[in-house]
Amino acid sequence: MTEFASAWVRAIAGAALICAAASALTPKGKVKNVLKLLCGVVLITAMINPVINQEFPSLSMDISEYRRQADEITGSAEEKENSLSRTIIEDELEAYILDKAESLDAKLQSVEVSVKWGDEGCWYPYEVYLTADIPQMKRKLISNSIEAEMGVPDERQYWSGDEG
Amino acid sequence: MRKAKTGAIFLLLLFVLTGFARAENSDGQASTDDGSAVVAPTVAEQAQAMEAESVTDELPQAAGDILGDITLTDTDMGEKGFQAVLDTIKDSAFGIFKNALASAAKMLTVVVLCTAAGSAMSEGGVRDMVSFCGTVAVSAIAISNVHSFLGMGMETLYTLSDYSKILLPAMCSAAATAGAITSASAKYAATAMFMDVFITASVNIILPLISIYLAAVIANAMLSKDSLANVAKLLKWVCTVALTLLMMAFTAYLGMTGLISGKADELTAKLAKTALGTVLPVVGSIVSDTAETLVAGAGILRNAIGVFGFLAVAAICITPFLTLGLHYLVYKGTAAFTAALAEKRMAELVSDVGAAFGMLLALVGCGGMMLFFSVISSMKAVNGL
Amino acid sequence: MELIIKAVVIGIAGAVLTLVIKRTNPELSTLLTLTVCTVIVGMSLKIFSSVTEVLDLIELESDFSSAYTAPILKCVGIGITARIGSDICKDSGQEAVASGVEICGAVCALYVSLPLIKTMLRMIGELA
Repeated sequence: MTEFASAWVRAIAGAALICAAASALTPKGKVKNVLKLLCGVVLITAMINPVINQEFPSLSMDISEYRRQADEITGSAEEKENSLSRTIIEDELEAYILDKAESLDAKLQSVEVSVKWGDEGCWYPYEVYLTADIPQMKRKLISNSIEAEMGVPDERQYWSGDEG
Repeated sequence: MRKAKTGAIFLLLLFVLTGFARAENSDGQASTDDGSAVVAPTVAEQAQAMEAESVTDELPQAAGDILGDITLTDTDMGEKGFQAVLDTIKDSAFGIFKNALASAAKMLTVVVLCTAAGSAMSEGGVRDMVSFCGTVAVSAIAISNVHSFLGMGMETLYTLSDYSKILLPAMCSAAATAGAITSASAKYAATAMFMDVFITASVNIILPLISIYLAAVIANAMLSKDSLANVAKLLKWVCTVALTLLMMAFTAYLGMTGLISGKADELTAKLAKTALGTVLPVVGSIVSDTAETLVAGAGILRNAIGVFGFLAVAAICITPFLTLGLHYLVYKGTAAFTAALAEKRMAELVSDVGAAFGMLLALVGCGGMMLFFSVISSMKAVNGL
Repeated sequence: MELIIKAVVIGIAGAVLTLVIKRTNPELSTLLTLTVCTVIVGMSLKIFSSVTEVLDLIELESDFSSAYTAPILKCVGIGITARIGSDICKDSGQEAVASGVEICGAVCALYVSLPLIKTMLRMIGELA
């Protein structure tokens, strides 16, 4: 399209130059009037000629394609948000368990919480991995607390370490 | 038409100022019900997780030179950015103005010489030839600038289009994460579609029309009768109306989309908060507070991306704006002087070439405005929870 | 630059001679006027080749067919010839003949324009 415009511009400019020069050279009289008519014809021809064979670009205004792109972007953003949210929730739950163990006078060496995506549309704790050298009684207390407050049953709590 | 333009400018100012006021008022800290705060991820961490750094990394070279090392996490990004843009204006305006004055001086010299020569001759062929030669000389001086400006205009539009493909998805992601899923998606679709239509129309129709307008005004100046004056006026009218209609359609569509989808986002946010808070006990509170924290963080990130995007678009457009704007003013001034010195034809030629610069300025301005509107509209979207 | 000075000198000399001869021999003075005009126009044709070179260049750059420019150049030639002819007739006191020459020039100019007018009308038809 730019080449077409460039050609059109050159055609009009060229025609105008030639007509102007001819008009300046021709002395006043009846012939000059005919020349003016001829110059008008040449200019109209210069303007119309390139347009006849030119194909103009089509403008696509299909919003559904852009909606699809937008849905892809928001979907990807949601996935990233879920991933970040998962990390934060696991960290918070681990911190909570460590605080709870400390309040029961038990020291845990490490806690790892694994969350799962639930039907309610959020993460919930699924498994807990605990490492501690504490007596069985304290382990039981901590396990009961985890089951009551986090909904993780005993069979999904995995202990390692010596039962002091 | 003038009243409509004034009204549009007033609405734009209202839009911009409200958007900035809202951006300044966001609060990033969420707290749990029992008073202890969830450790919020920093904006930098969230930006990294959302891959929002592409907005700064993929900044075009010219804009990057202006904005320097400003990042999304700078607390005074707005101030630093605006200062950088103002410094650019201060540094480059005088140089551009000097160049424009140099062209004007050349044209005025030709006009004075032709007027002096013509006044010594009686009416006839030779006097017409002198006038014709003067017009050709003035056209040659004007055209020497026009080619480079048309190229600059096209390059700026392509740069805006390429950068919008980075900025708009980042804004959409951040806005969706901040809770405005429906409106973010709808606004992205609207802006992306209108930007593509605008760029296609500008590069393939409006820029060529401006070139043809220039050819028509130059040709008209060379001919003794105003044969092509109406053709030139028609072309100018078509360009102006096309741009005006496109901007009005975009603003109306964006505004309507925001109104409709904004309400849907408010409703979704309310429902989500109720469900999470009551189903799960301790875990429920941690989960909902984490969600609140992330949404608040995403809101800050969205505003940060918005402000940075605003600055980036300003940085991309500033040099073309200054160049085209100053040349437009200088050419209009030159036309006024030429009218006093010489025949009407030369003065009209200079004024019409200035008008072509004005059309180019409007074209680049529309591209920048589209992105401005879109950014501000996304920043004004409903905050999630 | 020298060409115009030569043309002016020849023209003034011819005009003065014509005035001198007109009193005794008006027919010879008309012939002398015609000769001086022919010599001056012939001299200017020498540099006209540079002008035609520029016109060719314009045609090349603007992708303009010579079918469009040839009628214009012919019109210019007809105009100059008709004007000189009519003015010589007027100088001889033959106003009616001068008018006839001008009308003939206009008709010839219109005749050479006809192919271009037909082309334009055909193009408009194609556009519609």
